[in-house]
Amino acid sequence: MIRRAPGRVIVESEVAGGSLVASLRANLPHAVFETVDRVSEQPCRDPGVLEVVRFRGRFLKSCPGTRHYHCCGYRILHFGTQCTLECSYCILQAYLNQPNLRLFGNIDDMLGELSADLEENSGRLHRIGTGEFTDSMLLDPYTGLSRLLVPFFAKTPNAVLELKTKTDFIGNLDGLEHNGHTIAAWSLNAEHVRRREEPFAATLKERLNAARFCAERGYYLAFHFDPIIEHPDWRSGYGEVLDRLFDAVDPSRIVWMSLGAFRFMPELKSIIQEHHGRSRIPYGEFIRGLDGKMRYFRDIRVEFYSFMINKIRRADPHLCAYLCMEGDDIWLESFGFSPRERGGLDRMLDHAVRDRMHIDITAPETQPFV
Amino acid sequence: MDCGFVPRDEIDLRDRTFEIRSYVESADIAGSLRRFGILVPPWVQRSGRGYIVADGFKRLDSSAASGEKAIFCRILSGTIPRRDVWLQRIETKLFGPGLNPAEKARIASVLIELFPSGEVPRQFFDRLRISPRREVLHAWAKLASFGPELLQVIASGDIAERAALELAEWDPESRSTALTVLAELRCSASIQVEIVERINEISLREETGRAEILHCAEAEAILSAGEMNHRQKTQMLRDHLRRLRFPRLREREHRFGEQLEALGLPGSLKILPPPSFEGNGWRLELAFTSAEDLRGGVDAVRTLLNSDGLDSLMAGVSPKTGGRTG
Repeated sequence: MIRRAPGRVIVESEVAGGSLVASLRANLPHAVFETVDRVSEQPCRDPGVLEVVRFRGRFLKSCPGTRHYHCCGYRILHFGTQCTLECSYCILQAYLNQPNLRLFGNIDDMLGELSADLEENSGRLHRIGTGEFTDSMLLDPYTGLSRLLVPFFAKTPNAVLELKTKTDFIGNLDGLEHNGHTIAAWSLNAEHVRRREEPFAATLKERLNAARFCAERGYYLAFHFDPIIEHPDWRSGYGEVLDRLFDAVDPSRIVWMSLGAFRFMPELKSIIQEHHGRSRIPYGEFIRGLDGKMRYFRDIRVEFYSFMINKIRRADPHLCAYLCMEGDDIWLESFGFSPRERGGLDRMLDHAVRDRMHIDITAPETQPFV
Repeated sequence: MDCGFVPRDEIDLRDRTFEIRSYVESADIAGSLRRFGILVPPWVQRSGRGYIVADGFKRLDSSAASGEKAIFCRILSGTIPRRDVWLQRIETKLFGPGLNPAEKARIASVLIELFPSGEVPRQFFDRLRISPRREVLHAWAKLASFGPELLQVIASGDIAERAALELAEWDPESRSTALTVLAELRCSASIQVEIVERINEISLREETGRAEILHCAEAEAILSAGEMNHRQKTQMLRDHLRRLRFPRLREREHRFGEQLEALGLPGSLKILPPPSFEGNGWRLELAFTSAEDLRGGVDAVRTLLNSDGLDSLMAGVSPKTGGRTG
């Protein structure tokens, strides 16, 4: 995968002396650094620009689920925004007032908030990820952030970290003391979709090689088929990726796999049409979902999920697969059960952590979760 | 700017550089000119030994036809740059009576030419009532390049602005076909846009020509049906396009309708699925006029609850096979 290193780094003076900016200066020797009082809103996107700001909000957020569909109960460690992989379907394109890559330079504040929260809520398990508003690893070669976070979580008994990416920038994970508390995760898609809609992301081969590299170093793995996109011969497309995935890694290393059919805020459609004229994804059979987002008509989603879960169960019947933001009816029809029957989706995922990663801070359960 | 009588034969009426054609014939102007002559002087600009028209094409065409020898005009110096003449011309147009889409398209194409860097003054957008986004201006400018027949249809108001702008991106054959269909259907602006968008999206998804969608046997049968009025044709075409755009949803709706009918419910009892079958929000409606009526309705509900048909209806499967039909 080709690295597209930022050529210009705009740093807010309040964070100019911090460790993140020091790493960037060391790892981006050819970039021009500018220090400003406050990074202003940019009207246009410039993929060569990286902004480093002082973040004044909460670093820990809840997964933006809605009451209409089952949510994973994941928590997001918010270290930056935007992405330059330019996937056609990406919601980040709709954040028009902050179009450039942005990192939060006050990392000490972030780690402080994280420590305090985990300590305050020590009686429960925390599944925390960084890949919601940016790709977890896209800038890692320059920030070295994983070298801070992975050892941090290694010492945290009640939390696991999921680093979710579409890159193969996992070099920094090598040799880290992770203590089995970090999950290296990849978003995967059918080859047809990857080629057309994810032009700057790593190839499937690169992602699977990276996954194998991590598994060999003792990391647990996760995979996310999200967004699943309908395209000609999608069954063979997604089937092939699942086959390649289970050939590449031992399924027992996989903590969970999520499935999510493409859904989007209605305003994203015109953005995709404008920025990705070749893309055909806005022309699927979408209806307005209960949360106001556009979703494939439910029968199509059921077809996707039934196909995928059957293949996954053939490879590993105990692997925790789950649906991202779906209701009882879709769960029942495609998976044969509802998360409600198993204590909720968040409980299912907590149990996957217990069963696969052997991290257990909850009361013992007798019923196996599949 | 000078004013004065300009000999008619020194004005080159063939030079239409500054024309913003309305494409709408106006009998009123001709009548007014007959009664009062030219009340507002046209603008002409010196060019070589004669003049070209900068504003007032209709008035000058009409006076030429009436055989006037000299016309009172405002005379622009030949040294005024073309851009400045255009800006003055557009300025007066924007304060005049409302512009039709063909005129707006012409102005947009001139503005793009005058301001190639994209810095078109904001006040023009506001007065033209178009979005200041450059791509929108380009779409308008593209409309100006349509042939006179199409511009006439657009200027007449038979085609809504938003539909016309969508059509600007189409290939000429498809555009011409769609304009003819829309002019015949005489439907509202929002329905025009819906039809155009549906055709466009079906075409992009199925990788088929847009014109082909309107030329398929079913669409042609609808459009040529002599027994239907334009409203009925519009509705039939919309249904047809919806079937093509959402085939599986449409199939499910159709199946639901058939299954519901097979249940043989009384007319006072209705089962309503959630919109687009999304989620679990099913509804049962029971209308009644008396206690007796209500008892009868509740009995019908009881019978329904004990039948296999209800589960099949909600699951969208055939009660016999257990699989999805259709």
